[in-house]
Order: sequence, then C-alpha cells, then structure tokens
Amino acid sequence: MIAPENIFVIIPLAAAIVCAFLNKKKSAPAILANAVIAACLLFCVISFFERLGDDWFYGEVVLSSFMLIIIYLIAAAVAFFAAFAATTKRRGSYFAIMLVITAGMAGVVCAKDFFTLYVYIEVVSVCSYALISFYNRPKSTEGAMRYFYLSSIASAILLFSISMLFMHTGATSYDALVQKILAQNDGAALNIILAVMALAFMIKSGLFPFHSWTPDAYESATSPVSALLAGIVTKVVGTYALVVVCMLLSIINFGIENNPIGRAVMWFGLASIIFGALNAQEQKDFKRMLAYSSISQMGYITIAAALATPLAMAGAVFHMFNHAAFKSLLFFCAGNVKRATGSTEIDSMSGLQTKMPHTAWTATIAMLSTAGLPPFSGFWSKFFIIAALWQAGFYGMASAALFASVLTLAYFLKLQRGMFFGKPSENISDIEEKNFGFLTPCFVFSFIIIAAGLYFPFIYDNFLSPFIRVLQ
Amino acid sequence: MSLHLFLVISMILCSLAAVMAKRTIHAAIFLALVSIILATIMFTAQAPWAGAVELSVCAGLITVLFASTASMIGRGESYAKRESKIFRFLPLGLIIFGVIILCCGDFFEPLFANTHNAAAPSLTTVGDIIWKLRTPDLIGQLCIFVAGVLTVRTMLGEGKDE
Repeated sequence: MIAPENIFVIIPLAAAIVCAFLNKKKSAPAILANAVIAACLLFCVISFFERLGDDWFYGEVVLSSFMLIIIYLIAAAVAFFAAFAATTKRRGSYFAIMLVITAGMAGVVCAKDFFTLYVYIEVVSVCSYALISFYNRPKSTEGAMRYFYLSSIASAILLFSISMLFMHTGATSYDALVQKILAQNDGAALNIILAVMALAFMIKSGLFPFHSWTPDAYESATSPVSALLAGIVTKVVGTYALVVVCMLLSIINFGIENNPIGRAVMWFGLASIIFGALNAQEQKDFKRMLAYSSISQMGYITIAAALATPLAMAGAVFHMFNHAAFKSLLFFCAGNVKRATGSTEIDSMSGLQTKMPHTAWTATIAMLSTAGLPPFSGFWSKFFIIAALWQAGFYGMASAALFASVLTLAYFLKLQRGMFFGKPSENISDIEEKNFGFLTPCFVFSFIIIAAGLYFPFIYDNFLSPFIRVLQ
Repeated sequence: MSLHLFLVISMILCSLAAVMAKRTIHAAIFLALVSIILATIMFTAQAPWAGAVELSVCAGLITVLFASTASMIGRGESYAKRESKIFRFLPLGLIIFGVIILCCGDFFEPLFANTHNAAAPSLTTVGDIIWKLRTPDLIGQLCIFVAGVLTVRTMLGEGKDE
C-alpha cells in the first residue's frame, strides 16, 4: 500500500517518464505537464482542507501540506509560463525535468527522515543543474557548474552530518530524533551535528557568504527556470530543511536563550539581509537585482526560523509563501521584458509602462509586497518576523531588518523609475506586450499577493495557526 | 555459507572487472554490481540497515553519477572499442563458479562460522526493509535515476538547440 504523501511524488514522476518519450511532439509535453501539476495542486488543496481540524493535523504535518501547496502552485505557474516561453526543440525533456524536480521537491517536504530528505534534495539538485544549463549557452553552463560545485559540497556536508546523527542517536527519522532528544540530558554533540547540517542547508539556500552561485545561476537561466529556482527550489532544499533543523535545535536547547547555534544562524540571516539589500542597489541587470533581493529575503526567513518562537515560525513560513509568490512574479515580469526588448539591462531602456502596462503594474505589486508595504501579503510576514525579534529582545536585529526593508523599497523604486515609469526611451517604440500565456501567471500571483494581504486572518487561522500550535 | 563465499568472490571479480574495463560505462556497471553484491552480503550478515543504505546510495545514486560522467567523457571517443577478451566471458565464468560453489560449498563453511553470532533484527529481508520501512527512499532512487538519465540526455543527447 502506497502512503498518500508518496502519491505526490509518484504521479509527476510517472508523467515525467511519459513526457520524456514525447520529445518530438510540440504541444503534448506542455499539456501533459500542466495537466498533471494542476491536478496535483487541486488534490493538495482539497486534502489540506479536508484534514483541517483533525486532532493529529498540526505542527510538522501542516507545514508539509502547506509546502506541498506552495510547490505545486509555483510549479503550475512555471509550467504554464514555460508552455509559451520554451523555445527548445526538446520540449519533452524540458517538461520531463520540470516534472521530476517537482516530484523531488514534493519528496523533500513529505520526508519524515533526514536520509530520505537527502535523497530527494539530490533529485532536486541534479534537475536544477540540468534546467539551468538546458540551452547549452556558455553563461548558463558556467552558472550551472558553479551551482553544481557548491551544491555538491553542501551534499557531502549533509551526508556527513546525517551519518554522525545516526551514529550518535541511532535514528534519522524526525519523530525518533525528537524522542531521543527529549530522553537525553546532554545535547552538546547533537548541537554540533545539527550545526553542520544547518551549514549544508545554508549553502543550499544561497545565503551570505555561500551565495556565489545564486546571481550567476538566476541571471543565466531562462525566466521560468529562474522563477522556479528563486521561487521554490532554494526554499525547499534550503530554508524548509533549515526550519526542521532549527525546530530540533530549539527542542534541544529549550528556546533561543541557551541556543548558541540558533543565535549563530540568526547572525548569518541578518548578514544575508543586509548584504543582499546593499548589493541589489548596485546591480544594473533586472534579474541580477532579483537574485540579490532573494539573498536578502532568504535572510528574513532564516533569522525567523532560527529564533523559533511561535510568532517567528509563523512569520518564516508565511514569508516562504510570500517570497515564492512575489519573486516568481518578478522573474516572470523579467522574462516578459526580455522577450519584448531582448535585454534586462536596467539602464538600456525606460518608460516601459507605456508599452507594457500589465507587466509594469504587476511588477509594482510584487515589489511593494517584497518591501513589506501594507496591504500586500509581504507586510504581514515581515511584520511577524520583526515583531518576533523585538518580542524576544533582539532589538538591534529587529531594527536592522526594518532598515533593510527600506533599502528594499529604495532599490526597487530605482528599478521602477529606471525601467518602467521613466520617460519612454526611443528604443522601445516598436515593442508590444506579450500574449495571454505570458501575462496569466503574473495576474494570478498579483491576485494572490493582494488577497493574502487583505484576507490575512483567513491565512493565519487555516494555515499558520495549526502549524504553530505545536510550538505553543 | 556457500552463498556467502559465492558472493564474496563474485564481488572481488566484479571489482577487478570494474578496475580493468576499458569502457568507462562498463566500469560503472561493474561498480554497481559490486554495490549490489555488497548490499546482499550485508543483508545476509544480519545488517539490513547498512544493506539498504548501500543499495540506495551506492548502487543507485553513485552509479547514476558515474554513468553520467562516463557518458560525458566517452562521447564520440573510439579509443575503447577493443576490450580485454577475458571480461567478455566474465558472466559465464561467474555462473560456472556459482554452480561449483553451490555443489561443494560446505567444504568452506568453517571460514564463515562467526557470522551466526550476529543478533538478528526483527525485520531482516530486503522486502521488509525496502517496502515496509524505506519506501520513500526507493521512490527517491527512481527519481534520481530518471533525473540522471534526463540530465545526460539533455546535456549530451542529439538534437541540441542552436
């Protein structure tokens, strides 16, 4: 009997195998991939609301189910966008890899064991490498190689830490580990092992100072792939796993006060927030700016996950969702600009709003949400994170996080003024906005960002509250 | 015991074949065989967890990585067309050797007497470990295999985009 959570892995995997044999067909791979991912998304949402209210549906189970919804939501948007944007002759392989990476991410969040987690993280890494270098351009191959090297080092560190964990506790499953941790008085060895594991996940997340692969990979990949990588891949293989580790660290040390590893991870998060925001100011390329912005936003999630109070965890999880939505939307907008103008250089054009109003306005919504302005969804998650830091007595970190939000607004305003809302430049006179296929994911994510901001109590009651119940 | 001996010697022969094979792809396949035999030995020696991990990581993941690398470096090369003839007959040799060991394996039994002392866990069969305890790992291995094949095909296959 196959467990229900394995269905979310098996179905896209089976579809990928079928897709791989459809390489010579033009539309069939895209239709198959979109249909399968949309069906899985629907199934995820239905099963989530069916289980809501059950006594056993809280904590890590809710987090997994919520992450599954985010994964399939982003994958559905990316597959839809790619159906119109992919210019390759090998569409079967392209959509097959996209399905396998979706299966791998679903496997990561469904895993209840660190070894299983490792296996699925490798699936995602191999597929990411293939997707970044898919078009065999020198720049994308270089980006893919950089990703591959750092990712391999992270995988080696992760495997080593899992071995150490097994040697020390005799278990790798989350439940068994919690039991062992609660039974042991001395958590020093476990702290060191989990610190090594956290290091591996920070590399996978692309946090400062392990970020060197991020700008190259995001800039050189095609827009759907960048949206997938920045939107969900780094969150699943990096920050989601980091959330699990931070929860274990919090259990070992009874909170952040006696948790030196958690504090160290918080400092890494803060450094990423500041470094990403400052570097984004200097960028001349739209996608590269988004890459540095991602480094900064991942810092917010990390700092909250390491703090591990109920309020901080709610903020971390909701910011994962928000960042997935607004960063994917921004990469779709970057893709639309690239298709229309042939470039994503910020200084090479201005006044795009006159020719591409939908792209310009949806990008504006995403940017304002990234900066944490009300009433957009990004406001709530940043508010939760900063409030949690303040509540826990980390006043300096809370102020720095708030200051970085202002920096985020500054670099995005610079981008908006330079690219979309300035005086129209002559070189954009003959461009036009792309069709329905390119704009639909932008509209959908804009709607989600606004709706999640306006109806935040619904999100809190149904998605965040059952998750943080276990921490309270 | 005869099974143990057969497995150990088969593993040594496959290791030799892996080292001496001229085609890198054949070397990767022999290496996978070594891992599979080693996992079987671990299962028979009452170490099912180690066996499952060996089967999962070495026979699955590492083989995909080696096969990918072999495909990359071997593409378009003709230097390895001729392979040592002795290894063409290796499967036949292994079968003959297996039959001999099965017929007169009791002769070697004292060599493996100590393995009986190992404590037997409650779940000992390959089926129990893989199907009852490690199902997600098994599906993950399938994913890794498909991902590896697709990656190699994408990077080295025919019909690349201009």
